[in-house]
Amino acid sequence: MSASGRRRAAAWAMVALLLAEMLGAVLIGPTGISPSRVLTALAHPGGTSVVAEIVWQIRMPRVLGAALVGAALGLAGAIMQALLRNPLADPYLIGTSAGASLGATVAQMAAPSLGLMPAGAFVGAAGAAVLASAASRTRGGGSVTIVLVGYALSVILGALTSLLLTFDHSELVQIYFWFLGGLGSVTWSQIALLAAVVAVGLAVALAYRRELDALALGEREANYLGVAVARTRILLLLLAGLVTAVAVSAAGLIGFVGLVAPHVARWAGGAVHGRTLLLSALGGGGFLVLADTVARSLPVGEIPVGIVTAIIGGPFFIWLIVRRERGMAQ
Amino acid sequence: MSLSLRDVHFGYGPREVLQGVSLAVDRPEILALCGPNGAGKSTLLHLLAGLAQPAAGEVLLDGRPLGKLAPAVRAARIAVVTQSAETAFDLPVEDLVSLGRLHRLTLRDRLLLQPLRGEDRAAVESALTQLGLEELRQRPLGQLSGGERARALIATALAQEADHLLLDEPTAHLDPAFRQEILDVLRALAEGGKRILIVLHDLTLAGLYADRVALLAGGVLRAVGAPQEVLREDVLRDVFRTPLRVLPHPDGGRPVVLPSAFARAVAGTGESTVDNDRRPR
Repeated sequence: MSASGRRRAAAWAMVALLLAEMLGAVLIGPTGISPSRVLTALAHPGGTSVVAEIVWQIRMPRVLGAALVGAALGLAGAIMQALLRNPLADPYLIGTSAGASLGATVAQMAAPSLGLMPAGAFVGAAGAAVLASAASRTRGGGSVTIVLVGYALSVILGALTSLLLTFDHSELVQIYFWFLGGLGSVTWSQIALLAAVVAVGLAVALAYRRELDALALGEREANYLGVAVARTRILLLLLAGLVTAVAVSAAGLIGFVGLVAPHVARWAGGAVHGRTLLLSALGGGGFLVLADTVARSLPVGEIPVGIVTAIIGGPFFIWLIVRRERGMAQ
Repeated sequence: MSLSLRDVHFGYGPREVLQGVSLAVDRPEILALCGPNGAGKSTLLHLLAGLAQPAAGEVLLDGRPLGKLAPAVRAARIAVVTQSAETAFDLPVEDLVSLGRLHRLTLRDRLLLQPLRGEDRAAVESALTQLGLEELRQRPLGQLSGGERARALIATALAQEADHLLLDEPTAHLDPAFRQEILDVLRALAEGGKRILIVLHDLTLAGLYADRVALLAGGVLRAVGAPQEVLREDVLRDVFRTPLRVLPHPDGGRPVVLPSAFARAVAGTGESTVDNDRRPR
C-alpha cells in the first residue's frame, strides 16, 4: 500500500476505533442493563423508561463528554507542541490547565454571583500558554528544559490557586466542585458548548495548518516563508487556551491526553498538521473514552479519570524523554 | 528590479557589526559573500531578508523600504535558505516544499482542506524536479542525507518563485560532491534569471561559481567585483590577516585559494594547516 493510502486507512481506523469505544462505553455501566435493551433505548431517543433515562441522561452525556473533552485536550496538545516546537508539551504538564484553574478561582472570588469561572479559565489558560511559549523562545533551551520550565509554571500557578483558597474560604465549596469536575457531571448544555468549541477550534487550527508546519521549522524560517509570526502565534495560543479552558471547565484537570494524542496522530498519519490536528482530536477523544470506561468499571468502584490517564500517559512521557536523551547521546 | 543595502549600519547592543555597507543584488547572477568569521555575513543576509531592521541606512526592494512590506508580500520576492533549519517534526519532502507556496494562501485555500492546485502545484513540482527530488517526495526529512536535505531546503525556497534567492552557507557540512552539486544547481538558476546571494566560506568555490565576490571584514565591504579582481593574494592577506596563495584553476583559470602551508612549515611549526575554513564559529 502507498504511504498516503496507508495514512488514509490509519485515519479511518481511528474514526472506527473511537466510535466502537463510544458504543462499548455506553453498553457498560453499574446497573447491568443488557446490551440489547441499551441498543433499543439508543434507537428511540426521547423514551421515558428507566433504561432510556439511564442511557440518555447518564451514559450518553458521559461518553460524549469524554470524547469531546479528550478531543479538546488532544487538539490543544497538538497546537502547543507545534508552537513550542516540542513533542513533550501537554496542556496539563506545561501549566495551561493550571492557568485555567487559577483564572477560574480568581473570577469566582472576585465576582461570586456573576458565574465568570469559564471566562476566568479562558483568560488564565491563554495567559499561561503565552508564558510557556515565551519561555520556550529563550535561546539554548532543549525540549526537556522547556517542559521543566512549563512544569515549574504549572506548580507555581497551582500554588497561587491554593494560596487564594487558603485566604478566602467563602467560595471554597463552589470552586472545589468546579476543580473536581469529572466526566460524571457533564451536562447536555456543557456538551453543546464543548462540541461548538472543539468544532471551531479544529476549523481555525486547520485553517492555519500550513503555518503550523512552517513554525515547526522555526520562527525565522516561517517568517521567510511569509508567515506573520507574532500574529499567528498569539492567535493559536489563544485558541489553545480557549480549547483547554472549556475542557477544564467541563471535566477538571486531566493530564497526558494532550501529550499522548498528538504522538498517536503522528504515528498514524505522519507529521503534517493537516492530519495531525484532526487525528489528535480523534485520538484524544478515543483515549479519554477508554480511560473513563476503565475508571468507572474497576471492581474497587469509580476512580477519577485523571488517575487512569496519568498511569498510562506518565510512563509514556518518561519513555519519550529517555528515548530523546539516548538519541542525543548517540 | 533590485534588492539593495544603502549605507547600512547595524549592531547588537554596543557592538556595531555593520559599519556603512552598500551592496545591490540587482542582476541575474551569483554574488558570493565571503569574509572571516564574525565579519557580519549572516547579519548582512538577515538584513537583506527583512528579518532585521538597520540602525541607520536603508534596505530597499525596488527602491522601497523592505521593512514596510508584509511578510507574505516579501516572501513572494525574496526566498531564504538558512543554514540550520531543524524541524521539530519530520515533514515529508513534498509537504516541506509545498510550504514555499504559503505566502500565496488565500482564505478559500485555508478553509477548504484541499491540496495545492494549479500554479501552486506546478511550482512545487517544478522545484522538486529541478532539485532531483521526485523520488524522495514522500520521504520524511529526518531520513534524508545531508545533501538531500540541503536540496529539499533549496527546493522549498525555489517553490516561492521569488526573483531573489539568499542562501546562508548551503554547502556547510556537505562533502565535495554534494557541494558541487548544489552549486551547479544554483549556477543553472542564475542562468535562468534568479538574483542569488550566497554566503560562502569556501573561497575557491566562490571563485569558481560566482559572477561577483564581495569580501566583508570588520563590518565593511573591502572589495566587490569579479572573482579574478577580488580573490588576489594582496587583498586576501589584508582581509583574512593571514597569507593565502592564489593559483589559476586548471580548468579555465579562475582563482583557486590555498592556505600557505609552506610558509608555516618554514616558520618551524613543522605542520601544514589545510583546515582554514573549518575553524569553529
